[in-house]
Amino acid sequence: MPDEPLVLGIETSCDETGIGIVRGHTLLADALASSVDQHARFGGVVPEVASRAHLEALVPTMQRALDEAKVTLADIDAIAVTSGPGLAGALLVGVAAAKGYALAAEKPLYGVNHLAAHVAVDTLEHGPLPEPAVAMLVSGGHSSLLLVDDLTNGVTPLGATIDDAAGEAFDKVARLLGLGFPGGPIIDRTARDGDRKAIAFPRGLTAPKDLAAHRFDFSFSGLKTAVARWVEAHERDGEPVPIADVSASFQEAVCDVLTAKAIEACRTNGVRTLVIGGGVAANSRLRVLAEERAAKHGIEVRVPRPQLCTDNGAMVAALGSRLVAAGVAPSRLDLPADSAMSLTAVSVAG
Amino acid sequence: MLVLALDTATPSSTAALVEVTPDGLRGVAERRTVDPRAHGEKLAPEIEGTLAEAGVRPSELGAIVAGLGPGPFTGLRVGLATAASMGQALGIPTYGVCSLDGLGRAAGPGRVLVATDARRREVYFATYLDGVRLLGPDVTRPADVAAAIVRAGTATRSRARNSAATDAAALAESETLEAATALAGADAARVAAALARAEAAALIGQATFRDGGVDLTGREPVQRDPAGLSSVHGLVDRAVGEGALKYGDVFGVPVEEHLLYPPGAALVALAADRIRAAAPSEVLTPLYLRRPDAVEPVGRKPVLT
Ligand SMILES: [Zn+2]
Repeated sequence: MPDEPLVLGIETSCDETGIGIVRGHTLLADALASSVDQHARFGGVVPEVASRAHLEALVPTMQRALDEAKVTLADIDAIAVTSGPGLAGALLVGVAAAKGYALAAEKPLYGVNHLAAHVAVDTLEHGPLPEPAVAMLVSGGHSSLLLVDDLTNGVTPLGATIDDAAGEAFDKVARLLGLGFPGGPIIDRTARDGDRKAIAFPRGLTAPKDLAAHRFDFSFSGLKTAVARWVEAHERDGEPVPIADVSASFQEAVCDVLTAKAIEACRTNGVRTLVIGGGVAANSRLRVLAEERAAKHGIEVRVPRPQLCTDNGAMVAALGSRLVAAGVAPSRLDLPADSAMSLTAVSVAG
Repeated sequence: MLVLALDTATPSSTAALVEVTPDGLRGVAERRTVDPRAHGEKLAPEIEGTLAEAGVRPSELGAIVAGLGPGPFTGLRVGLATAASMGQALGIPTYGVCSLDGLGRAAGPGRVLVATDARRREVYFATYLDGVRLLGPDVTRPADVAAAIVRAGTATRSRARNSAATDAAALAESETLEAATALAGADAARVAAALARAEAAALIGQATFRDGGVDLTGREPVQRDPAGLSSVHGLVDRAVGEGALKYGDVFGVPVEEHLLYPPGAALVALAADRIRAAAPSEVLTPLYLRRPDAVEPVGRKPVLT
């Protein structure tokens, strides 16, 4: 519909500079510049390198998005920006730019929560989200289970990782196996030729004593250590390390815990929709296992296409679009970047 | 033409509105918040306040001038991201100037040290003669600034010795002059004259250096204060910038406390030639001077430890 609001979204919370433009639920543009190659040699995202790259990429990425959507900044009705959580210095570049655009074009500004944006992006692919829903967000930066009562207002954290993020575990195991960075896609590929039952790696926080305090929390640090021990023991004995089997068995341990807890969260809360987002949502085994287990309980699994699962501007625009439609008040120009922004606020009130 | 100037290279989030006419500048409004951790929150409201105070809509702006630093990176990027995004939204050119030059320009005649706080017990610094930069920008410990000025004198001296021609015409062809002219935004003849003075000064300095004193301008060979090796006394007349104030004891020269942060009008003055000539818009790249701290892992990092 042409009279639905045209909303621009800016994302710079980690190593992706993303600018997205949506009209209502329709994605018009999703331009992305990534500094991932600059971080590869460090084996992880370097905040200062990411911040420098954001500043360089912002203007050209914005131009690509505007060209792709065939609109100008004057046509935009509102500007949304990730104001947290994320890397402080990286967030600051996006927030400063969003303020510059909003100020110059005299448009309302919405500082939004990155995690809520990961959930909102699904509406671009599958339409309005049935509420309540459970969202599982898994990436190099987050591993969270959320109860979504109202995407524009109420999101309740059910659980999160108590140590490493799921994607971080993929990165560390990939490095351990000498496979490169980022680890997620590489392990997914390597695991295809392996036996996921070859090695029984531990499932963190699934023992009854852990479930009492951490029913919907995750822990991947012990798993990472177990993989390291297993590999080092093999090397000490002079045996070749079966890379494919280790990859497949590690991946199975991660996906088993994630999907088991996500389905349990849906059942406990009487929810029939599970949304999965974040970079790890692109993992092929996670998708299959989630579908299998959800089907048994009549739960619908919604996973956006991989480009929308990783960090991007479209997800921020999608959430901004929902906020505008719901009549939520915009943020003020002194909007802070909040690296530890909690989910109690989906957007920063004016 | 109405020009917006922004600077976040120091603890100040500065926004200024300056009118540039064919033959002059007129400051219209200027606002600042001094807080080293608040650029991200304070700059945009200061811009909005400056425009409101002058009754100017953003669409009436003709150009944006931004201080490129050097300065602490996080705050610096706030100013440049804001300037670049506003320039893009308004379809107007953006011009970058060295933030220290803003202070050097505003300091007026004489030999001036500009020093701003680089954190980690270091300063960003540059030296100026009559508002034109001679040395820097660079970053070092306050106690090492004097030695850097002396070293620069030595370098200039050997260049002069190897050069058959030390007149302004020869200097006009040098890369130094081109760079200095571009950065200072001043006319070539003025910079050439300043550089020629510096060269001459360095030659005079050869003699005085042996006695522990070097004068960059050749006005008067002076004895360095033997008690304070870190003092820049004798090398410059005075210092400006909040770094100069913070490390006043180290530098040992008078600090002008009214010039702690780059004034908006001085920043616009540095870009006035480009603004009047409607020069092409510039990509605003920070003067980083320091590399990221990240270290590449060596070999395979053991997970168990
Ligand atoms: Zn994310």
